[in-house]
Amino acid sequence: MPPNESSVSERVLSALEGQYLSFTLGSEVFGLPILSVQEIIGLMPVTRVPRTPDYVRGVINLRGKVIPVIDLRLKFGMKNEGDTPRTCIIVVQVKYDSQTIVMGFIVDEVSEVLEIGAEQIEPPPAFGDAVAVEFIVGMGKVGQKVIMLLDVARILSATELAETRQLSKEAMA
Amino acid sequence: MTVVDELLIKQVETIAEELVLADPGDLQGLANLHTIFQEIEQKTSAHAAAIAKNCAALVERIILAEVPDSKIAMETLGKGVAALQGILRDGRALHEVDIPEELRPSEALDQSPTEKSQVSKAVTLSGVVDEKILSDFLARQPAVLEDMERLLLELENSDVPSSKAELRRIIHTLKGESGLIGLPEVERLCHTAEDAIDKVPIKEITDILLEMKDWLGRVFHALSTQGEMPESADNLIQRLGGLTSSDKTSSKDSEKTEEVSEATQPSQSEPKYLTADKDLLAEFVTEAQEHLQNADVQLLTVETDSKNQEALNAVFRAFHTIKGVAGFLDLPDIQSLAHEAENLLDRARKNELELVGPYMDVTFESVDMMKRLVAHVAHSLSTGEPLGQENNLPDLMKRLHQAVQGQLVAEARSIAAVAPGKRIGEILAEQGKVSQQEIAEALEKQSAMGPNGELEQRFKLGEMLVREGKVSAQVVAEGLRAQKQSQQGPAEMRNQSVSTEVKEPVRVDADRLDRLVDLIGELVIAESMVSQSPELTANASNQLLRHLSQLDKITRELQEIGMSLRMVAVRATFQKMARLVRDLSRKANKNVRFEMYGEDTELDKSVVDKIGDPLVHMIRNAVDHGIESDPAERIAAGKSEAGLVVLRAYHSGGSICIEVQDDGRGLDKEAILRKGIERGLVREGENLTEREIFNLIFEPGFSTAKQITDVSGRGVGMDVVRKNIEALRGQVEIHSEKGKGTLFNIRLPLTLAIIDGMVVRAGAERYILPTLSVVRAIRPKKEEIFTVVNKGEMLSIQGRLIPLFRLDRLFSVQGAVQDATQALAVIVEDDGRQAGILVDELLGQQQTVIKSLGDAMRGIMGISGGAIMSDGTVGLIVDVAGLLRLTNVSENAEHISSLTGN
Repeated sequence: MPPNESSVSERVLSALEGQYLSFTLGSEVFGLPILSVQEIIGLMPVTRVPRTPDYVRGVINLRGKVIPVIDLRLKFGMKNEGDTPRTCIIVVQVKYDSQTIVMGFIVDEVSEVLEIGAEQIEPPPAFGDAVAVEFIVGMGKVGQKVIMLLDVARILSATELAETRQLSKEAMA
Repeated sequence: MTVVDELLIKQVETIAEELVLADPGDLQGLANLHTIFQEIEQKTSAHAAAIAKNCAALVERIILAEVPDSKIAMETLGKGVAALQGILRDGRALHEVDIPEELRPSEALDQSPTEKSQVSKAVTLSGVVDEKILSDFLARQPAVLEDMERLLLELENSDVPSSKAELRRIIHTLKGESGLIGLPEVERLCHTAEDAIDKVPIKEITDILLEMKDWLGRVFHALSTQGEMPESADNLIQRLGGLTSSDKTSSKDSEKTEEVSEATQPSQSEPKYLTADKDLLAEFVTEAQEHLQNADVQLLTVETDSKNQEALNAVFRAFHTIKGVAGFLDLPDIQSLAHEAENLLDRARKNELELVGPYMDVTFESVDMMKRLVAHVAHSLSTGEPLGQENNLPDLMKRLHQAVQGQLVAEARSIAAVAPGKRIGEILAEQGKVSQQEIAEALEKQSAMGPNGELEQRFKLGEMLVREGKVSAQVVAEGLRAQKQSQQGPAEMRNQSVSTEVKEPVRVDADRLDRLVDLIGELVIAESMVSQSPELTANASNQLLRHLSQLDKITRELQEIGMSLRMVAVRATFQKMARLVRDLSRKANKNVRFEMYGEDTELDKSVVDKIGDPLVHMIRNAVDHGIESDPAERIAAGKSEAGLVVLRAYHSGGSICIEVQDDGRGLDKEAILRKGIERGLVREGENLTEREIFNLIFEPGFSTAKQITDVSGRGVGMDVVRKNIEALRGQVEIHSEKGKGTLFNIRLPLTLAIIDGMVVRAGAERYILPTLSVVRAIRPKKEEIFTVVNKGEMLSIQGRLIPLFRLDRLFSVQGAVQDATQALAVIVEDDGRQAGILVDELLGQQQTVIKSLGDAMRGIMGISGGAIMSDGTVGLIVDVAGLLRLTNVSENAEHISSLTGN
C-alpha cells in the first residue's frame, strides 16, 4: 500500500485523535492505538517456526492460545541488537478481514500511554520508495518528542499470509 | 430486483448520507435532496413513491421555512428515508416499516397490495427442507462465495489449474447442496456454470461468473433473513449456457422450473407477532425441535414398516405435544397443522389407514413444514420481527385433510394390495383400468417394435397404453408406483432408538465448553510444571509427594472428562444420510435400501460437523453410480433386486472408522486406469497397485462417467471427500470388487483437539511427530545410506529404498548432528508411502493439545500446527503427509533408476 497523501486529509487526521501506547525501537518512538492493545507481557521463550519471513520470531503460548510474534525491529527494517531485560511483547488484537487476529509485537521498551489530540498530529512524511513508511498513519508531537503513530491493520496486512505462503512455495521449488 | 431497483436503492442511500450532513440552513443541499426525492417518486410506484412524494413536500416546506421546527422536520425526513430503504432495499411491506405520521401515504394506497408482493419470488425454497441442514448451509455460504470471488479474480489474471479445480469444486459442492435442500434454481445455475467452466476459458466468462456470485449472495442473504428473493437466474443461465455449444437443459430441469413457479404464490396474510411469554416460547422451540427430530427418525421406520405401532405412537405423541403447547402459546398455524397431522397419525395407529405412498409423503411434509414453522417462531423470537409465513401451508393442510378422509389419491388404498412381481399390465387390468384384450394388443405391437429388456418392456407397455389413449398417464404412474411398492423388501432399517431411555441433557454454549476444555488443558500443563519442578522434587516430603500424585490423578481425570464433553454421537449425521438415500433413490428411480450401524459411536463435535459433506458425496456416488439402475442387471449378478447402501461407524484402535458401502457395480479398475493414462496421471506401462488405481478417483476432475447428471459424474465430489478428510487428519481407503460393490473406509482421529505425539529433537528445537504415522526408529548404518547426485539421500531398510529427510536442513535448524550414523532415522508412513526423518534423539511420547497457529501462519509447509508442551512452550507438529508429498512419485523413480544404474 503506497502512502497516499491526498487521502490523508484533515478529517483522517482528526480521526487519529486518542490514546496511544508509546514504545521505542532503538532511538525512535512509536505509538499504537490503545484500543488495539490487549496486554503487555514479558519476553518468553519463543518457538521458531521454519520457513517464515525473518521478522516472524515464532509462536508463543499465551494462556493456552498459540499466537505468532513479530520482531518489529526486523519488520521495520532495523537491526536486531539482541534482547534486553526491557524487551517485551505487546499483544495486539485487531479486526482484520472480519476476523479478530491476536498477535505479539516484540519491542525494545514500552514507555507510557499518551493522549494525543488532533492538533498534535501531522501527516506522515513522504520519503518516496526508499523508506517504508506505509505502517505510519501520522506523526504525533508530544512535548519535544515525535511519535510515529502506527496502524496495526496495515502492519498485519503487510505481514500477511501471502508472503508466508510464497516463501514456503519458493522453498519447495 | 431489477437494475432500476438497484439504482433506486443507491439513490436512497445517497440521500441517507446527505441527510446526515445536511443543515436546515443549507438551501443548496436541501434543493438537491428535493430533486432526488422527486426522482425516486417517478421511478417507484405505490408506497415508496407516496413516501418519496411526501418527503419532497416536506423538504419544500423546510426550504420555505414553513415548518415550526426545522430540526424536528429533518429528523422526520431521516425516518422517511429509513422507511424508503426498508421498502426498497429490504423488501419490507409498508406496515413493517416505521413511517412518521406526516409522511405516511394516504389510506387508499395502503389497501392496495404493495409493489413488492407482486414481484414473483422466482427463487423459492421448493419441496422439503430440513431446517438444520438449511441453516448449516447458509452459515457456510459467505465464506464459500468469498472463496469463489477470490478464485475468479485470480483466474482472470492467470490460468492456474489448481485454482480452477478449486473453483469447480466449490461450484460443484454448491450445486449438490442446493439440490439437496431444494434450491433448483441455484442448482441449475451451478450446473450450467460448471459446464461453462469446462468449455470456456475462465477469463472470458469472469464477468458472468462474478454476477452469478453476486446473485447467489443475494439469494442466500434473502434466505437467511427471509427477505425478498432476487430475480430469477434465467438470464444468467442463458448467458452461461449460450457459451457452451450444446444445450444441457434436460427435461429434469424444466420440471424443476415448474416446481418453482408453483411455489411462488406470495403470502397474503397479515404479519403476526408473537404474543406469549418469551421464556415459554423459547422452551417450546427447543422442545418442539427435539420432538420433530425424533419424529423424523420414527417416520423412516414407518416408511419401511408401516405397521410399527411404537414408531407411529412416537410420531403421534410428537405432534400431540406440539399441538397442546402451541394452542396455549397462541400459535394457530402450528396448532392447526399439528391437529391435522395428529388426526392422520391417529387413524394410522388405529389401523384405519396405512401410511404408505402419498400418505407417507404428506406426513413427511408435515414434519418438515412443522420444522419450518417452529424455526419461524425461533427467528421471530430472537429478532422481534413478525412471524414468518409459509406459503405452502394451506395446500399442505388441504392435502392432510384429504388424507385424513382417506381420499388423498383414489388408488392409494389399492396400492398396498398389489402382489409382488406383477407386471404393469396385470396390475392395470386387475384394477379395471384396461382390459386384458387391450393389453394383449399393446404387447403385440410392442414386440413387433423389436426386442427389449424385460424392464424396458414393462415401462414401454405403460407408455404404449397411454399413447393408444386406452388409459391416462396418471393411472399408469400410479400402477407403476404400486408395482414398485410391492417389490420393496420388508423393513430392515436398523434403528435401535425405538425404545431407548431418555437421558437428560444440559444445553451448554459451545464457546463456554471450549473455554473449559482449554482451561483444563492449561491446568494439566500447570500441574505437571509444578510437580516436575526441580525445587519441589529435590526436597519434597513423602506427604507432599502423596498430595502431588493425588493432584496428578485428579487433573488426568478432569482432562478425560473435559475431552469427553465435546464428544457427540454420529447419529444426527447418519440420519441426514438416511433421508438423503431416500430422496436420491426416488429421484433416480432406483430401489435402494439403507442400513446404518453404530450410530451411537461418539466423535468430536467438530469432526462430526465436518464429516457430513464428504458423506453426502460418497452416498450420492453410491446411489447414482454404484447401484445399478436396471434391477435385471442386479438379479443377473445374483444380487437382490433392491440395492443396499450401508453406513457404519466403529472404533478401531485409537481412531474411528466410518464406512460407506454399496453392493452395486463396483469400481471399474480398467476404466479408471485407462482414464488415468488418458489424463496423463499414469504413464503407459506403469505398474500400479490396486490401491493406487483406486486412489486416482480422488484426483480433481477425475471421472469415468460418460454422462454428467445433475447428481454427479464430474469427478469433483471425490476430490472434496479427500480434501475434507485430510483436513480432519483422516485417511480414506477404497475396497472394491467389480460387480460386488464398493467400500469406502474413512479413518478419523477420535478428536481434533488431542494428538498422540512423539517428541523429537533436532539441534535446539523440538518437534512433534504424530505417533499414528511413526512406524519405527532406527539408527542407520553407514552402508544403509545412499546419496543421490549429492542432493537427496535414500535409506535402505529391509530391501526397500525410502527417501531420507534431515529435519535440521528441512527446517534450517542450527547445531544438529550431521553424521547420520550418530543420529536417529524415524520411519514415518502416510497413505502407504514411507520416508525416513533424521533427528538427533527421541525425547518421548506425549499427548498434546493441538492448537492452530492462527491464520497468519496457516499453510506453512511441513508444519500442521502447534502444541503446548509440558513446560508451557509451543512445540510444532510435523505434517508428515505434507512432507511425503514432497517426494513425488517421479522424483522417486528417478532416484531409484539412477541408483540401480550405478
